[in-house]
Order: sequence, then structure tokens, then C-alpha cells
Amino acid sequence: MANEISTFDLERLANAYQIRIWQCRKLGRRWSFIAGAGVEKVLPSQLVYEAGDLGFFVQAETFNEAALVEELKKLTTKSICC
Amino acid sequence: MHQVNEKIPTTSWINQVIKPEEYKPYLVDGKDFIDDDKIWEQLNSSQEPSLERVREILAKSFDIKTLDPLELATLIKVKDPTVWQEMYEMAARIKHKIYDNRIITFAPLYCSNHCVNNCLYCGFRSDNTHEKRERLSMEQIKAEAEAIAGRIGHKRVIAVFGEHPDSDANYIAEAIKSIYEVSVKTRKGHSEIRRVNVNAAPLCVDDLRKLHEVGIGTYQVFQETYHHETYRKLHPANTIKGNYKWRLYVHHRAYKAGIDDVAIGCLFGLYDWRFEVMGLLYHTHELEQKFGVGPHTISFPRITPASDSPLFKQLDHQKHFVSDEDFKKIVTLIRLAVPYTGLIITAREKKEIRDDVLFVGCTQTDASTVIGIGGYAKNSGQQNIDEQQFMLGDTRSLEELIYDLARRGVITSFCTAGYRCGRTGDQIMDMLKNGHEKHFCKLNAILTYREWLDDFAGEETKKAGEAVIRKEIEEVKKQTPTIFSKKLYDLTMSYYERISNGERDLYI
Repeated sequence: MANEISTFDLERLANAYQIRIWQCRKLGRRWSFIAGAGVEKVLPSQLVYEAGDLGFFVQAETFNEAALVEELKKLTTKSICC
Repeated sequence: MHQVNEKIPTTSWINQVIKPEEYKPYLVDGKDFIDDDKIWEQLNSSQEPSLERVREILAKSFDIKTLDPLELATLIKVKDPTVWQEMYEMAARIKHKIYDNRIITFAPLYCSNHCVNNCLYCGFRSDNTHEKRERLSMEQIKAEAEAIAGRIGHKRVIAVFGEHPDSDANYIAEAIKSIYEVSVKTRKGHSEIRRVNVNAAPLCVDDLRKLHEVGIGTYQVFQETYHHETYRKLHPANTIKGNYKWRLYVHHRAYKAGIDDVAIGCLFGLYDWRFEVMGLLYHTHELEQKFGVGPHTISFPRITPASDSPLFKQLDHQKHFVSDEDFKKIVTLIRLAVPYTGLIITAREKKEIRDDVLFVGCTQTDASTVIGIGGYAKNSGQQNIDEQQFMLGDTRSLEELIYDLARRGVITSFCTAGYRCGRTGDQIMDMLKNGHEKHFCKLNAILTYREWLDDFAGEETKKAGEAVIRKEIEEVKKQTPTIFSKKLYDLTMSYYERISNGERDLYI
């Protein structure tokens, strides 16, 4: 099962890739907003990665999509230690 | 149709529905956030304001800031018609600033009119033996959705349910899923309902989660009247709806269940409209303070005749009925008080009234409306007071509405994009407040309007609609690259081409 990404990590990704990024949960036909980071711009929303019922959308002119997806994969699968 | 035996609920059944532990924690010293005396004090203490003071408040609205109750009370006190004219114009400017030049349309879909409550103004009340009671099966709900999406071309519905154990959360969740499953082939593509909003009784958190999990759009519950004493008189104490607080805090429970778009409203004509407008603002403040998100939409239906309604026989209540002039003031005041929210005007109102108030701030309306259970599939074109909750004032088809709006330069939008890419809840509220949302809406309006014109419009409507589309595309072009990036413009135009060639449901 995929893990939600923390706001801290979303902010780090938004800064590193210079993007607006937000994570959502798929519910029926809709994506429901959970949390996001980065500055909102009038740019297309691009679904870059899906893990289980989680989805990650990005707004950016250009960015390294492959590298971002790799990071998202790691973050959504990392085990949480208490 | 599935037949259900009507039963007045026993006290024990009521106690099973209402969970005091789900609203009591929100109370302060046992009281809810509507303080009747305080509201009247605020309404009575405000004198007719100077023009300067009115303009200060209007400037705050134009900055997309929710007004304070005293500021709203001040605007309510305005008497001068020339100042009101200025307020109408400001409301229209604010609407344009946030939502641009577009109107969203939807259809109400009545699924069940069984109801255990006995509200004195409602045709569905349990004592009304004239009302024909029906509950649609899932196949019948799909048939309704097919007619709405395939024959009329709507992409949004608000599914409506009476409060009854036979239309409980499980039934509502199944209905939502059934509606989403429908897809109908059209002239050039296909059509489906892409957003299912729900108007239903106040539910508990666990039941609201069931609706959240199947992808509910907006969850809409109206308080009907915010005035405690009037509420008590109109909603008998031995009914579930008799519990004012259970209803008032349903949006709190919805947020707790994960539903991030909620809608509030009030049935105008039950009590003094000035008080009710203040109640809507207090409700907005409460949601903003507790959850950081105000209401996604506000509705302000005026009471209309219902089958065998005792309220219409009581002269003392008729003094609260709202005139057309006051109705326009109500819409204007709500737009000014809660500038970011969507405002819904329905086909309860006559065409002339709708045409008037659409331009002082409304964002959504219905058309080709049928409120009899199973009425879209029957397609009889008739209204029957014993088969519906109230009588409609405007029976224009969606095509007629779109044509009328197009001739006034307004684009009809079927956009549901926000829900498809997570622009919901506080995300969309921020975008509405900073003015970004209208840019997405503008592009998605063009794309969805193109779909509808190709799939459903007659020649005259298509001609009028094409003119609107050309104007909108020209505006987008002029705003590229200052507002719209070249990338976004190119993407929109490529989607536009693909839609013209029969692809559907492309959005930005």
C-alpha cells in the first residue's frame, strides 16, 4: 500500500524541481485534494505518478519528470518507523 | 418502482440516527453559533450608512474578503436606490472577477421522495397523503442519468433524497456509483455525468464516509431557517429534522468524513430575510474558522407552493415571503458578503427573475429541470404538484437557456475539471480567492461548450454558441502569454481540435 507524502517532502520537491505539486486520493471518478506545495500558476495540471489510490499532479513549464517520478516512487513506498 | 411503507419513526429510531456526540463537542456552553439576539442586535444597531462607508465595505468585497456580520448588517440597512444600484454593479464585477463570463449548469435528479419528516412547507412531508411516493431502483436511476446526459447533455447532477431508512447512506452511495457508470453515445461522441452532487438529510460521520469513498461531489444541506424559534415551529419535535443542531453541524461532520466541498443554503420566506442572510454569513464564518474552507456554494431558494402545505394556509407566515425586489437584494448581499463562493439560482424562479439575478452574482443554474421522481425518463413535459416537492417557475430547456445566454454573450460551462485533478476543498478556495481558478474555468468552458454544441445543439443555438466561442478564444489569445502561457494555449487548442473530431472529456 502506498504512503501519503509529508508536506515537508512536498515542499522539498516543489523547491527542488521549481514546480507546484499536490497529492490527491482517487475516489470514484474524482481526485480529492490532500496536500500541496509550491506556487500555483496558470499552467496545465499533469498527473505524473499514481500509486494505489494516490495520485500526484504537477504544474510546471518544464521539469525533470523522470527524476521526480523516481523520488515519488521511493517516498510512497518507504516504510514508516516509529 | 420500489414501494415502501411509510412509517412515522419512533423516538428510538430517531435516537439511532442522531448522534449527539457528533455535534455536542462543537457547542460553546451548550449553544450553537447562531445567536438570534445578537443577530437582531446587529441588524437593529446599524443605521443607514453613508455612501463612503458603503464603498469601504464594497472595496473589501472586491478584494475577495469575507465580510464581518456588522459590515453585512450595514449593507442591509441601505435604502437609497442609487446606492443599491452601485451594490448590484459591484456584485456583478466581483462575480466576473472570480468566475469570469460563464454560467455552470446542472440538473436535479430526484431519487426518492419517501420522508419521515413533517416539515410544514414541504410536499414530501409524511402527513401529505396526496403525494405519490416512489423510490427509484438503481436501473431506474441509470435511466434518469442516461436521459439527463444523453438526451439533454448535462454533465452535472444534484441527486436528491428524502430522509428515510429506505434511502439511507448505502442507497445514496449506490445511486452515486450508478450515475457515474452511465455513458451514452451522442451525435459526435459520448456523454456522461461527471460530477454527482448530493442533497440529502444530515448524516453521521460514518455514513458520510460512505459517500466520500464513492466520489461524491458537493454535499448540500440547507438549514432552511437559521431562526431557532421558527425552525422549531416548522419542524415538529418528534421528527429527526426537529433537531436544529444535528442539522446545523452536518457540514462539520462532512469535513470530518473527508468531504471537502460542502454547500449551505436557506429557504427564504420562512422567516425575515435579513436575519437569514446574516445566518448564512455566520455559517460561512464558522466553517472558515473551524476548517479553513467556506461553503463551495450557497443556495437561496424562495418558498414556492407545495402539495397540501399547511404553511400556505397560515397568514402569519406569509409576511415573510420575499418580493422580487428583495430577492435581488438577497443575491447581491450574499455575493458581497461571501465573494468567493458559488451561488445557485434554480428553476424554482421565473425566467425574468433568473435572467435578472444571474447578472448580480450567480454562477450556477439548472435547466430542462424535472423534479418528479423518474421524470426525465418519462419525458412527459408536464408538472404535477402531487408528484414533486414544489412547482417550477422556469421550465426552459437547456438548449433554450444556452441560446438565451449566448445571445447575451455568456458562455455556458459544463466544466468538472477541478474534481478530476484535485482542485477541490481548500485548494480550489485559494485559487478562487487569488483569481487563478477563473483562468482554468475559461479554458475548460470553451472545451466543454464545444462538446455540447457538437452533440446537442440545434442550428440556431449552434450559430449563437459559435459566436461566443470565437469571442472567448480571441480573448484567450490576447491574454497569451501574459496570463496563459504559450504551452497552455497550445494545449487548449489541441484539445479543442480533438474534441471537434469527436474525442470527449479533455480538460485542463
